[in-house]
Amino acid sequence: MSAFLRVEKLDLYYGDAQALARVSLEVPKGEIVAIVGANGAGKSSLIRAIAGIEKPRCGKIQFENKDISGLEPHQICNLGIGQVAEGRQVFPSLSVEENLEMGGLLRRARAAAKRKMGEVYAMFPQLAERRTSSPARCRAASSRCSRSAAA
Amino acid sequence: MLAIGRCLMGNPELIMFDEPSLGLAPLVVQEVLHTIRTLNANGITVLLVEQNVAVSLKISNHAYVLENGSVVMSGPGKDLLHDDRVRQAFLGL
Repeated sequence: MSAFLRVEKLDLYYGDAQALARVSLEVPKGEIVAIVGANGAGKSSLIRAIAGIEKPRCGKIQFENKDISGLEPHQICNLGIGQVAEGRQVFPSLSVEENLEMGGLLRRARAAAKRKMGEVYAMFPQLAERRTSSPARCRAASSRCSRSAAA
Repeated sequence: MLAIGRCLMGNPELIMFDEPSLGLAPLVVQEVLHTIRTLNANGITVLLVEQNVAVSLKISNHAYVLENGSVVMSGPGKDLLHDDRVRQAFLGL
């Protein structure tokens, strides 16, 4: 199977400190590929480099055979690469629905945002029930739900 | 789930999950993993970054082990799960 996402010989530095050294990997279309390692191994740096948040010193990143090295994060998102960041990073001052709307602002997603919102609510009914609540209330309800399931 | 929902609103073809199990109760972790598998079954390609080695190797087709910024091992997730070096380094076995 051909690579959907391909990383070739990526080097990333924070100042003089090298975070990634000649990292190469392939993610075939339709698969789940895991990157594992201890704290500080470079896992999050790799994701941030692919997302365009960090700029590698050298190496190449290709998505669907297109070189995306050097593109800005919003351009990379618009190509169809999404990210669920560490710590989840939702907007605490916005409601659940407003948080979802933020995700639908991408150019590639705007036309289908309403339909997509319906799909997301169908997949996560707990979000639909709390659409006007803050994310913190949603998280508390989710933990309560899990504790009751465990009891 | 809200962070995953927000990501789905962008109509992605590939989702990169950065430590999705971090700080979550075990039952919620199972729920998140189930969601990742469901999304993948629906055609979304997944790049999963995890410290929870056992869980991520179980659900991945292929995996890479990073150490000090370099790839030191790679292979099918289930093979790495049974590799002695991985078991000693990450699973305490």
